[in-house]
Amino acid sequence: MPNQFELLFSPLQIRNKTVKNRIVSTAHVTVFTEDGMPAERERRYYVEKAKGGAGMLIGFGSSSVHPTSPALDWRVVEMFDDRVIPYLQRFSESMHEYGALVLAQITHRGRRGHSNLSWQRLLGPSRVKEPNHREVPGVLKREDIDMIVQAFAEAAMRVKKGGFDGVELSAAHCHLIDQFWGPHINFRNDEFGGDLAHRMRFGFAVIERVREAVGDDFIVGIRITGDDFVEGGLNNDIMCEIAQRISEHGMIDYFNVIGGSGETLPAEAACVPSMNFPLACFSYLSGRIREVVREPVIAVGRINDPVVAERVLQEGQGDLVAMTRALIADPYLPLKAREGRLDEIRQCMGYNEGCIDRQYRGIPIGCVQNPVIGYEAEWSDLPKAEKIKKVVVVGGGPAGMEAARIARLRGHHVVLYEKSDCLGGQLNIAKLAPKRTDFDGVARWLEIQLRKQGVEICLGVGASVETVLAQKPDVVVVATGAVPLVPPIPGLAECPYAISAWDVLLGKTPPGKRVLVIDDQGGMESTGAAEFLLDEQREVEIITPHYSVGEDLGPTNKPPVYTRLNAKGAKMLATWELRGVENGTVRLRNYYGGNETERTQVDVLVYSYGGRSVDDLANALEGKVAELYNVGDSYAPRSLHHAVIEAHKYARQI
Amino acid sequence: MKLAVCVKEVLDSRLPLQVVAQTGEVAHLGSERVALINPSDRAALEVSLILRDQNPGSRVEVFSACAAGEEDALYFAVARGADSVERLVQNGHLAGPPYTALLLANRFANEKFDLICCGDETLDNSSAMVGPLIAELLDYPQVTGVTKVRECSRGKLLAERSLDRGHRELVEMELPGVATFKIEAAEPRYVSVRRLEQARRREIAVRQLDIEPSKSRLPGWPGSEKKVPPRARVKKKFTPDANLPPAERVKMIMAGGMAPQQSSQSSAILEGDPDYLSEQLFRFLRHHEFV
Repeated sequence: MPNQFELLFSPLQIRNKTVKNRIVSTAHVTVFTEDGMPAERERRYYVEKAKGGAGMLIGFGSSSVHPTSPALDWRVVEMFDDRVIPYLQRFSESMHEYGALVLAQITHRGRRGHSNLSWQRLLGPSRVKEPNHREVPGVLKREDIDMIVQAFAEAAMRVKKGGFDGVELSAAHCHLIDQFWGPHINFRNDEFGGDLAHRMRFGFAVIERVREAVGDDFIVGIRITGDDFVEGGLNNDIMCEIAQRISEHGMIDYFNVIGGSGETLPAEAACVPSMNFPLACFSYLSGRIREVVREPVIAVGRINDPVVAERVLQEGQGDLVAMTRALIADPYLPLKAREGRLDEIRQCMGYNEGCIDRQYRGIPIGCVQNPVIGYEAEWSDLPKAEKIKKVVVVGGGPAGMEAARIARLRGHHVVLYEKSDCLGGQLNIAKLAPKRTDFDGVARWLEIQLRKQGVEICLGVGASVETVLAQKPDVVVVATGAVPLVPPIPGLAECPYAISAWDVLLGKTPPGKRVLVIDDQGGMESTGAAEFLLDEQREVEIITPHYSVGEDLGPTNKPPVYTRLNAKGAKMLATWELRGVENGTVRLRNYYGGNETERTQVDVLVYSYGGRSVDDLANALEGKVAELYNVGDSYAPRSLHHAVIEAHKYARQI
Repeated sequence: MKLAVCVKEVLDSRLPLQVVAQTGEVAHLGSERVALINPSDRAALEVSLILRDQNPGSRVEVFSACAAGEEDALYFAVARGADSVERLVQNGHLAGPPYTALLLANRFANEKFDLICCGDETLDNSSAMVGPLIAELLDYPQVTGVTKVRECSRGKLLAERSLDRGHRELVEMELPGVATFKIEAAEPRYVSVRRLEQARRREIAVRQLDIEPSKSRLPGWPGSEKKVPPRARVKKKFTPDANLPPAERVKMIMAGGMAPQQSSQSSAILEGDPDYLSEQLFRFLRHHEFV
């Protein structure tokens, strides 16, 4: 279709600069910094986005303007130190080489975080703790406020000296500026508290001092929330008022509008909406802000492909679109979209376990679909193999498909065997859970790639040692996956009404109203199965030996899952483990106390203990082929992320 | 003989057109965009096809510097019997005839063609720059506004070009060279609907090229900066009431703007294969007398 992306690929003037298209990668923590500096790993990560054609790159999720702002938990950039300037210069030069605008986000996190890493005391507008981190801050004195305002200006100057096109002030995620705005946080009775005009005074002081420092030829944007989803907080009506006042004040060049806030766990999960949310779910917020301001507005939140992005722009919900996670899944999305190669775009599915949920745990981000993220220096190039080999891949799950894709791209001849009649492996089960349909995209993209590149795909073939050896392969990659683990608990294996979480999703649950779900795996298996059964109008109780049900669900996945489980009436019991099953009675033992209890008249017992490797073929092939790799769950049952990274890594060695 | 033809698709001006005031661009009035091959490019294509038929062993290769989805001219060429078609894409975001010429010239620098045929001018821009610029960039001789090819063989082109008041000039040009053709240079051949349909199914090769305007002798072009479309109007979207409890607001957004409790009373969610769904939908519409 001609002009399919008319607005997406049109330029836009922001102050003295022109952004070449409307695609923005917004600031986010990467945990790639070295000693607080955006060094090589960070730079290489962004270079791919610039090369891929994104118009505007905002770097450094909430770099710190002052040592009192917590920075060590997520290893953010320490913008309060002049040491950063040479790193910034190298960074901005690399982005400008590809015609992208480059900005840096600066902030003071105020009371948000913990002081137990830097032992710098937390500071906030009032002595009100953040429900999320629960550490009580000290109250900012007048001289502290002056100090922090000055620190913002100095940090902005460092960004300017670093050759950047602009700076973005973070007044979202409940950082210091929006802590001052919040009527539920700011109880001051000096000129910085009281009515909205007074509560906005700190933010305006920062804006004015920053603008004064950087001058007129520098972009100063602001990131705000459109609705913080917090009781008594900054709802959409108040935020429209605030945005309008900032716009009338006239010193800010763009508004970057998220939904949610870092203040509470559910609001924090909304900030980076996972696959539990619809696409472009917060564009209504940026749309409403855009009605009251004159400056360009960035629409944010699960805008994961160019078609959705163009629609958001056409509907006037934003002038630019934040496609941050979409660009992590595929940094080359802009180029591919512009050339009409839509089916080649690896679409972000909003799983979040690879990126933001790792960041919140303070470990470097990656992508469950794109193994190159974080390893750009090593993996962004894929050289052709020196010697072309015959590669047989057994198993069409994500590990097998990724291994086949990389081996084929390197020039090898690849044959892939899959036992079932479709590719995807466990993804085909995962996608059946409520709100998990987007898992389908992973397999879809990989399959399109395999077919395009000419991997020979044999479906419905359960490859034996003979089948494999008949191909006379130089290399065999075994990715035969896993099956549900049945632990040796008395009565479990023989129990007629016991069923694995996988089989629940496949629709094999026996009839019966009362369901007990044992969640040992701690991830999405058990909660997904529980929700699936709740949707069938069954009564579900989830029992886990861990501190909470779905213990290992990431911070952006757990709250939506809990929200729905609660709405659907699930009961939950933590710290109890399964001890035995007999005749409709299920015995449980407290994981800590050792005391026992039981559940009677159980109709269905769902167990989720993770997987057991299917490694027979790998073992049988040992010593029979020149090169043998066992990747993914057939090596050890772990996550999708493990499967994809591992397959990628070994396929590069072939 | 190797012949290259440069083509472009333009809006069908037989349908009502409008100029969008804010951008200065032309668009169809209210209807879907209908494109066709630029008429003088069509003549250039036909001339090359005739030359191919006259010189056994010749090839006609057709090129278009255009975005995906703007391949109508290339499909036209396929249907008429071009030996190959290729869509050229640049790595940057430069728009306008000089950059089109630069992109095409870069392509021809890699592979030598005896005669490069272009349309004299396009219906939309009418700059008449691309052909001459290709010649300049490649240091080839050129003849513009050709109305008739008298002879083309043994490394020479003998052609008539149009002058004012209906006069014609007879020109001889050494090959390789560039010629641009007037619409009257040739009438397009007839092809069956079947062939047109078959052409549509042809996959079009794409080639990406690096162009560096700074390293070439390009003239300035006032249209080279891309026009900015007007600021889109905000469409009203579902917005939860700010006075609802936050958890309710989040639930509404997670449910895509539907409150689960209410939806169970006033609406139903159906699942199943398309046949079943369409059947149910139709029954619903019939039941409520929508159809």
